[in-house]
Amino acid sequence: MRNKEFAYTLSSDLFRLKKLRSVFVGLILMFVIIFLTYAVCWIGMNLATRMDVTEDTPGEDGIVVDENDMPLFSQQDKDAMTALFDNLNRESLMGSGAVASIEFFVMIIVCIFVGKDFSNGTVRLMVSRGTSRVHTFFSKWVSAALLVTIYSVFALIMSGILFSFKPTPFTGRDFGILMRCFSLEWLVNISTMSIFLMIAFLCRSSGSSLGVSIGFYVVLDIVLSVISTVLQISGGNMDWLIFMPLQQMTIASSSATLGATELCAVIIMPFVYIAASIGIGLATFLKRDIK
Amino acid sequence: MNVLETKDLTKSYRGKVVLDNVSVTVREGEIYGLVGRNGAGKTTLIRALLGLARPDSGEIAINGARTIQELEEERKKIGSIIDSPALALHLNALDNLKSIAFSMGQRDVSKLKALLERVGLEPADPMKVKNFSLGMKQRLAIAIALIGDPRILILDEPVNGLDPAGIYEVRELLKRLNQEDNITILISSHLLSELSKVANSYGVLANGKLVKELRSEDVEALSRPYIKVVVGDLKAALSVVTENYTQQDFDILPYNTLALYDLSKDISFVATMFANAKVPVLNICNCDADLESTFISLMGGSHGANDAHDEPVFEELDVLRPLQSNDLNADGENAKKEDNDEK
Repeated sequence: MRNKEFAYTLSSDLFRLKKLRSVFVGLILMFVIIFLTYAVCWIGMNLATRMDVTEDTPGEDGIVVDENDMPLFSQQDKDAMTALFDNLNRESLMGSGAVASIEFFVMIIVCIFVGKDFSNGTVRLMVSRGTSRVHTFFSKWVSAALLVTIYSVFALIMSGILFSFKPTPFTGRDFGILMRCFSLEWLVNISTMSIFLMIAFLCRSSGSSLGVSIGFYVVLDIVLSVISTVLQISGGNMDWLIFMPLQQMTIASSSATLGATELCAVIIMPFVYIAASIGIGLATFLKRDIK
Repeated sequence: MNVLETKDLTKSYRGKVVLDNVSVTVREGEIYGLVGRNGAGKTTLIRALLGLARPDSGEIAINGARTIQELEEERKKIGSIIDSPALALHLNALDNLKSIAFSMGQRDVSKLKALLERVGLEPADPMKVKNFSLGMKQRLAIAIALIGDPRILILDEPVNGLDPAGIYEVRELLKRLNQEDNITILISSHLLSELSKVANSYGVLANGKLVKELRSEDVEALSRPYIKVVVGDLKAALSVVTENYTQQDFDILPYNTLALYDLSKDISFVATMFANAKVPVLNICNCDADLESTFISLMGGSHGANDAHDEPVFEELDVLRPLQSNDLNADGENAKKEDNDEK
């Protein structure tokens, strides 16, 4: 019976999420961002193909110029340029979730969705009609997790389609790496979503939760940059920085082989942040009065 | 049978007690009016009943259920409106109903459309709720409260923002729901005259305390018709009244006004009585039973409640408050009036 009630609550949340315009605006913007990323790759690859290469030996300054004093490129420059954009094209596919800035869109949508439900009084109404607060919280978490999944799959499919327009060599091993990246990015996105959901449950309005979330993002970034600079100067150990909140996406979207510390940061830390966010968010929601 | 019950319910916010050992009882089939000023604790009491506010101490029982899980189960049978209507502004009316109905496992859209028609809204209207008038929002909130055929309705200011026709419709709807479907209704409202047209029991709250629980017969007994006389010389008028009336059943109202409750002497007798004594009468009329002043006096008059939450309507009505004996000074003058003048 209780499971059935959770399904009812979830279906109501999904209904409202489906009706939220920001969900579709987010998908469109994501497509635009992915397209622009690949467009840069295509333009770069085309430029590399059309580069005029000179056979002349460079002068003392290492540069060969034409009659208008414009520099000419060597075969080495052309190869480096081609490799750069081929690699960027490949990394764009591997990091499809990250490229699509899912973190950012999920932050906005979760804050709007939860904030609206609080400010419109939907949460108040549902709880007053006997929906348990635990169900209400987890229903929103599951709805947001579904949103992350849909966005991730959408980003992957869009990346795949755009990658196929101008493919670089892609092996079975690469497919394995792609799946690894996708899974890790998804997990990291779920942990990020949990943090923003917690913030939304603490703030209880779209505006303030968005403000706090963006503030959290910016302040954390600044603090970590300062710490990182200080550690660089003093020669201290910087490995622990990747364990901090919202710092796992770069590792998750990298196609490079991951070491034990990185694997720990990208697999264990998301679970830690998910558990902590759910714990704090739920405990507060259970304790506080609903306005 | 008691369907809603609180026992010694206490709730405070940051050290300020907003509910102080409140014990109310709502019986099955009643329309229970919750009366009190702003800040008296009406909404907090309703929130506590609906599980939105956790009481510091005391007990809540709904249909006899007392544990958290049992209460959650019983709350499924309660429809409610609390504060402003809880509506998703970016959705239309039908989608708003769907959104709540789905959470209760109800997927019969035809029933939801019928509900909208019942409160006078057009089910096929694609207009988003953010473009609704306050009255339309209130109607929609009532429709949402009626989802799932509730056995109890808890309504906090349900006629706020409605035009007179809308108020009449809601009143008739509530009466119908109560009489035909035997739905128990707890309703709070500032519109006391409106409340008295539907409620048959009352709970009067003042400063977080339940002052009194009354049935409508008790309220009627407390509020009596009277002859109101505005005189030019209050002192002379008082001596005339004490000479002519064996029962000293009168009140002194502000602005040299007397309220005479002994109706064995009619208005013409009163006019003649003052004329014979050469006491100028500036105005004289028969007044009906005044429920509002009865409630206000039960709530402790204008000085009984939290001044921080006073509402203008009560301050205006303060002039109607009958004077108490301690309002008179040693010379029998209207001390209250003097106080007002000094202010």
